Amino acid sequence: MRPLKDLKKLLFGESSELSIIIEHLKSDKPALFGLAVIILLVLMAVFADFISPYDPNLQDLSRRLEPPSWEHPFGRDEFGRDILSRIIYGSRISLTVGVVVITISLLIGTALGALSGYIGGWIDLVIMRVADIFLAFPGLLLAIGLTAVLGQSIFNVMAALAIVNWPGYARVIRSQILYIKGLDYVEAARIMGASNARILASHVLPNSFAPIIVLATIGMGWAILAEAGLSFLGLGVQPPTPSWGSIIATGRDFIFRAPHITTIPGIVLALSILAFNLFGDGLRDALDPRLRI
Amino acid sequence: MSIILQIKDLKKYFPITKGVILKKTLGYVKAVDGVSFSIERGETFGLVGESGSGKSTIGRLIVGLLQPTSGSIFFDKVDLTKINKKEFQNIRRRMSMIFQDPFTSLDPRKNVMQIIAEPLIIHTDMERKKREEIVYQLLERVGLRQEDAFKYPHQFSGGQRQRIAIARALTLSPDLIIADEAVSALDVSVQAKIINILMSLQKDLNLTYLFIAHDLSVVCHISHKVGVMYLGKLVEVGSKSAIFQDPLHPYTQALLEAVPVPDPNIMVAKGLMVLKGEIPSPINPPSGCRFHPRCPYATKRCTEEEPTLIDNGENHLAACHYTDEIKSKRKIIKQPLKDSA
Repeated sequence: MRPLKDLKKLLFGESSELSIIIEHLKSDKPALFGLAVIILLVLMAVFADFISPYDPNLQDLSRRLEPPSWEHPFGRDEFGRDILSRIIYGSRISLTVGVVVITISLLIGTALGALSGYIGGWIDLVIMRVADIFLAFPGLLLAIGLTAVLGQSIFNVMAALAIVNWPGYARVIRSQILYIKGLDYVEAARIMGASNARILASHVLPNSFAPIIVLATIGMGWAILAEAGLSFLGLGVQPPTPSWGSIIATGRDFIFRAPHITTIPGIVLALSILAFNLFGDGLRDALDPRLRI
Repeated sequence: MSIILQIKDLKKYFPITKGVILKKTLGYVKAVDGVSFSIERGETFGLVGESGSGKSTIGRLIVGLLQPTSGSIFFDKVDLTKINKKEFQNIRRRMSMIFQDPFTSLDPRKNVMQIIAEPLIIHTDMERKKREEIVYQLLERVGLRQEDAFKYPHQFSGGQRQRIAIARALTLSPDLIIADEAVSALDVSVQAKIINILMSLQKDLNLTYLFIAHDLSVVCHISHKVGVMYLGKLVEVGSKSAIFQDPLHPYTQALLEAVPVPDPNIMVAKGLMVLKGEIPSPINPPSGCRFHPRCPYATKRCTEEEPTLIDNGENHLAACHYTDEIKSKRKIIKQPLKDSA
């Protein structure tokens, strides 16, 4: 481990925040498990061409709905396609949608929520009423409408889901900031003469992020499933391109005759959400000095 | 000695508004209503009063957390209410504040080094090594160890946290430190230690303190001069000995008698003067003397005519119409308050 340590020292310094976080994560077993699964999923998506045993779109109608076997460990779907290969290829769409939707929602939500909570007044009023409008619609329905307007493509699906999703983040960040900006340490910084930008970036935001990390890891699963819903309605990716959500959605028709079509991708989805959750929890704890040993 | 801080007729009214878009002002909370006093360099001015008397508001007005409604604050002959942001930034270096609750006044995500060095980062472009050097010195000054520099606030006790807060207040070697209930949240034994630190720092660094507190024994121990506030007004100002041994205003007398004494018989012998009721609302303060509804000596004149601060000799000012009568009528048992530390 010696060279690794030297590299770390070179990059972040002896006691930098980042190296403390890495040090803490190392001792957090569930978080490490989560990280391992995430890395595995990413590798799977990147190297799908090399590791998938079959062509994900190769149909064999004579062997449709075949249950798992040694030849096809996850079985075949309603067109006789290999489910393992489809899951491997599907991770590309699903992971991208999950990560991109959450990142965009986080960026918009944090920026608007911070503005709203920190500045207050008129700006707060306008931003929060806009957020209320978005929250008043059922999320998926609004996303369907938006995709219909924007046109059918996976990018528009991601955009629509992010637009639907940001108000939640904005609200949580705002409420956190409203509480934190009244605390004495923020006033102390103000008395010192710290600029608003400095107070926000160095005191208020770092202290308001804990619930957002948890929200984001849960949101990841929501985004992957929502993409499936939109694809199922013909608004997202088009068949035969696989995504986890679409495999689960189409498998529903055969849930009694061939339960493996829905359950296996469902387990993979659940496992990856669990991985993001565990890693998110670990990250939150590692970022909080109070929880470090 | 020169005057470092002078406050003249300072007023702060908080508007009570209704609605967000069409703001309607329903009235004002007169938190600070025409307060004047001055502090000389190197001395401690103790500001006492019940909660809601406006003492903390004065502290926040001085450091610029709030803008006064009217009046002026002279810091070293510069009127803080008339200078622009940039000039104020330079004044800021010369004053700092210590808060009541050491559990909320330190950012939980910053280590001690970052907390104490922050003023240096904001006001100077000193290099890191130099900053660390200063922080180590400050830590030793307040009785912490150098090893503590990379710990986080949650790893310290309340008293230790308050030491960190004091170190932060000292970082830029200020002239004036405003201690807003700086020891109220601490255990009594810890209070004594913190007060001793503050007093020895004052001696070494020629610091000036505005010490805001409600605990009279603490104020008595640390202050040179004391101001007593009631409902946004200063009712009595004077040297420590004048206030504690010869209080002129009935409110000050009542406050002093409310200090617990170890022997209950003394309290009985003194013929306790217990205040009736609560501090009235600062939205609609009583007419005339604001203390008249609770004052045992109140007359018709008190309900109509507002008393001003009158000098009773040796800079001992009191705002009461009947200081002379009260003085002769009541024989205050001259029992010097025991120092708490």
